[in-house]
Amino acid sequence: MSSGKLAVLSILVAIAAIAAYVLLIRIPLVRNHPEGYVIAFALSTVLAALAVARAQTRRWPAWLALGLSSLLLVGGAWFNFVAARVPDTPTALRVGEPPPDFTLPDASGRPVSLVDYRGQKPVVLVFYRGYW
Amino acid sequence: LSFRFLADGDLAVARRYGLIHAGGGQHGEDVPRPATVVIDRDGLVRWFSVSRNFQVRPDPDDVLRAVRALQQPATRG
Repeated sequence: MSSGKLAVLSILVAIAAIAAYVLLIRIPLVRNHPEGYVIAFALSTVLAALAVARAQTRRWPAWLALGLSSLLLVGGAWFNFVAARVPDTPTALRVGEPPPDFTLPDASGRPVSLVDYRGQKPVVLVFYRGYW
Repeated sequence: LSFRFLADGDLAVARRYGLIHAGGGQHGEDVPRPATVVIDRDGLVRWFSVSRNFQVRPDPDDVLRAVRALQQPATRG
């Protein structure tokens, strides 16, 4: 494959990875494998490096692709493996044991206690971070 | 099936559960670690998931499986 085609392919792979991740974020398989975009950026970088290696006359498309893809690779890897990492903490959760009880206000301000559900029905408790 | 949204404004409950991501917020504030807990009728934890990457949440199918498992008659001794 020519250098120019490799450069275009490299950029297409990077754009496709971003588009797929953003558009398919609601699919658990996509959302729960953010390393997928890092792998795609790595592939994009390899393609761009090949493009640079094969460039003879017109070199800028290959270098542009290499600059873009390596920037995405470093940024994406940093975001996924460093920024998005949630440090492990010792939790109070043990399978087969009761979780700590609590009383919290619901949306209308009425207090809700976990213990109220005991003997009534199962509970799925979800902790959200507030803004996403 | 119903949802109730509860406000844990000062993170007291998240703290009691050991689910604090210290300084993990947008402005360096503490936020909870994303977590999902399935509790049975007897008030016992049957399944839980605590995220190690804020992009990742449990697969809803796994949560449903854990909830459906509660409907089976108990076979534990």
